[in-house]
Amino acid sequence: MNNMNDRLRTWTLLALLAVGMVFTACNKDDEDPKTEPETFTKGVLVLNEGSFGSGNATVDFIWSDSLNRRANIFQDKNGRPLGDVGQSIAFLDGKGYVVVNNSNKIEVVNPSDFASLGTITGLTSPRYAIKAGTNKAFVTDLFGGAISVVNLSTLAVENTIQTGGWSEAIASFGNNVYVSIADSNYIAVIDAATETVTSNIVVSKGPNSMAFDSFGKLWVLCDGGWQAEIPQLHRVNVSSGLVEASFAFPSLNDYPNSLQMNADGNVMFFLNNDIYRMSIGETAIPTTVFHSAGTRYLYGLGLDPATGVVYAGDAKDFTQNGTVLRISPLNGNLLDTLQAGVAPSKFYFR
Amino acid sequence: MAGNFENRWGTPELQHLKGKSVGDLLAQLPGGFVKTYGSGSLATASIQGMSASQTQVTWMGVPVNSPSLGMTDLALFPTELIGNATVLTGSAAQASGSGALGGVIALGSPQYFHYPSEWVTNGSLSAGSFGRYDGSLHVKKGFNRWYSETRAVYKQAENNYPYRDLSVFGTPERVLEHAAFRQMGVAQDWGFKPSSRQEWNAHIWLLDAQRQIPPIMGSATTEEQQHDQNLRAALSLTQSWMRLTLTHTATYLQDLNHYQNPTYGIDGLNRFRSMVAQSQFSTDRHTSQKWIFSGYARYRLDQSQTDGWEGLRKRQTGTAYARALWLASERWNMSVAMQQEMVDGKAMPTLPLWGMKYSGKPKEGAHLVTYRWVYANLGRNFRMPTLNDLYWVPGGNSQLKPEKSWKAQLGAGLTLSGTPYETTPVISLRGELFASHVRDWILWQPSGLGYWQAQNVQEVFARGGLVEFFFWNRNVQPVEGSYGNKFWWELRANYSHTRSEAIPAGQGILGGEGKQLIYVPRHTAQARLHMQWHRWQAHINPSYTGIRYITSDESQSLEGFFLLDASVSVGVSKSQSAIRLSLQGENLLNAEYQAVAFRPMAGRSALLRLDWNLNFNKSIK
Repeated sequence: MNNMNDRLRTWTLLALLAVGMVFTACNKDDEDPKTEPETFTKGVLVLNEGSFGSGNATVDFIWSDSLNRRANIFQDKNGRPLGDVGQSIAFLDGKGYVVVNNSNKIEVVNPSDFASLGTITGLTSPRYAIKAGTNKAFVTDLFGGAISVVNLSTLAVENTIQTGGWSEAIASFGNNVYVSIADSNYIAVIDAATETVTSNIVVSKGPNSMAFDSFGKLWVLCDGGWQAEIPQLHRVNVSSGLVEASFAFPSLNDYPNSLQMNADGNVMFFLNNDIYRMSIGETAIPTTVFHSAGTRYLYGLGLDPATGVVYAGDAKDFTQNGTVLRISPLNGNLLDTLQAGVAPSKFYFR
Repeated sequence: MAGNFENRWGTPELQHLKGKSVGDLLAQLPGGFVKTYGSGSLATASIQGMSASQTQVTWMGVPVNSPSLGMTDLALFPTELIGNATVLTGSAAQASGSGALGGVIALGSPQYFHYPSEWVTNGSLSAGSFGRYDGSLHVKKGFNRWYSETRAVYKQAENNYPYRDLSVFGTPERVLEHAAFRQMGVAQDWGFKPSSRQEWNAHIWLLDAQRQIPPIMGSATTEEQQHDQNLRAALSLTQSWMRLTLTHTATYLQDLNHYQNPTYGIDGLNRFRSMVAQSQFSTDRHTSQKWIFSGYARYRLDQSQTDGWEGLRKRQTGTAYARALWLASERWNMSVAMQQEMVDGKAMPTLPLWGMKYSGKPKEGAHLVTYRWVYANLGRNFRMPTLNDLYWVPGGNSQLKPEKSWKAQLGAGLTLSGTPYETTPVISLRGELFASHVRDWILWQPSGLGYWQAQNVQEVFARGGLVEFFFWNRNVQPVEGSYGNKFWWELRANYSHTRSEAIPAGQGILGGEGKQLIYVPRHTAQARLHMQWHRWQAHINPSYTGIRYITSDESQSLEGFFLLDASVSVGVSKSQSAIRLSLQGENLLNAEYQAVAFRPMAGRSALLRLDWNLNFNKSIK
């Protein structure tokens, strides 16, 4: 039974659950007092994924100083909801690109006030976007089997690059773009200029997230394909295209994800039910929990580059508003618990 | 069953509901809420605060809920194929088998003491807004020892109705795309009585439904679609000796569900089939006896093959059920029942049931009869995890426990009517209180393993009440073809209040404690006014569905909505033929509403229908 089938089955199940149980959204979320300015320039943007099939993805903004929160800033500014399954946000050339997976689109916004500047359509199931040359972005895709090449001036999909599977995480280094194929076991290396796959770097099953460290090494976190094999963390030398080091997790039941690198590029954080912290110099997966999830379901992770504070999203059961945990980077202690929308999953620091 | 109130739709009532589905019947039920994605689309029912998978649907006495999904799509039961429908919300629902924690919808065929000797055919053709065309045919013929009854239906609709797109600034008007459906089906009943003590019955149900699935507002249109095929067949032998009646039934069920989304490369084929053998007994009431006994023993084999696992999954269920009804006096009766199931060789909880009814002696005044009654019931039930819950890869959990429930109802009614042969109005009032508690409620929740997993995560306490009001100004409604010249009318109205709250328990990612379950409205109300004068008939049907929370913390909701449907028709009869032409309007106030979030429902629509009725052995005045 291959991993792609697993993903499809889970997608089908999600669709069945959305039909049968139904989670959803529509009316406006609770609002904090609007005592803050209307620009979102000093704080963190929280992307709330929403419930699958319910069209209730939202973006919140939390001001760094006051920790006040403004909920649902996209709908507030634009008079319409963001869409179904908020996947990620990319900030390219001074604009925000909000990838809305199950609405098959990317909303282009002014990042300072989230006013809509346009919509990119013609995508199948977009996941993450990255700049890949002048006026050009690559967008990964769950079901499309290809990377979409988007012209950032015309907002049109101009080309597709076949990747042969579920393209997920994406990162660039030099002229190359590295794309993890999450339902397989490799990283596709794409020449951004020629828009062609030049090679594949073999890792282990289920590469779901990755980040470059300060030495230009690419760290790839593989979940093992839902208990198909032991999850591993790999350090890849992108110059040679080889895996330099691999770190195995203890159990098939581990599900590591959401790899984040700190601003100095020397310490990683990731989720494996709980939050773990690992220096790039360590020789094994840490066994000590940095911050315990307890009864919470931690679904996303972010690192404030200015303070190092760790942000984690508690999605609860995906049918209600979640919370954002702020955690000390020094000792893993909980600093604050803040309100969020449904399934807070990504954090972007401004 | 003593102590339980039945909502029943016979063939005459179903005649007025042509073009509808069982989902529409349930929408008329006080305390019921149907979550529908639109005409012809998936429709599931929540009864008295329970979930859709806790509503059991039976066909010829056998549960037909999907063993994989647990629920039944009520849109796949067109009223034209049904002889009668009965809804039980009380604990007597367990008589159909376990699983009906909310209630049971029993679909069946008419039972004839004497087979109808005349040829009866009736049918309908209709055309309406948004590309809707329906046709149905019903043919019935009996001879001395046998009869045949055939029902057939064809429906299609484009469902290309306008709606306001809430996902776009300014909410511009758009036309719904990719929402067409086509449905056709046949139901056949045969009866054969070789002697007065023996009867054979055979029933077949065939349905084929193709549906496009529109995207939610804001999402791109894909090629998502679904194809369903249902085959059901039952053969029964009923034998009577003295006061004992025995019925042996063999039933075969086969469902195919083919879901496709070529855009996403998804092609899912789910099949299940069930074989059921059942022997049932009942005793008649005898004037010298105060006890009536009934019961059955049933063996059921479910087989399911889906994309969620490799190979075939099976489940074997043995059920024994026995009931005793004690007719204590003219006013009092009481019943007790017990059910025991074995699932794959493992004994399930024993399900006791108790019910009672007190019927006050009618008091007659000069022109008035006052009749009061009180009923109560209490029972236990459980629902097995579905095969998806147990075996879906990934996330199926073979360690799941069954959901277990207790439910109680207390009701009272009062009827004021004219004495026999009087034409004074009849007024009836009924009130009911209900409460149910469910443990080990099964939900799919994030597991920390990277996928969702079925878990027993919470308890649910549901309670509420309903009131019903009936008024009709004459005892006898004029029948088709025999038009009276007096104005006849009937008014039915009901209101229900339901609180269905989660009580976190056990393991899992919990939330929503003390909050209303999602998609269970607290308030529903509706009325139906039916008028008839000479050849004219009119129906007016206003309904209100209150706010429905769509997150488990009540932070987001769908607004309540008010709908008004109405119809007017005129009948013409000549010789042995009767024809009726109807104009039906739905959502006449053009309310913008969503039964499911971001799924637009149709605004004002019209349907023109022609019904005919031919009875070759009966003269029609």
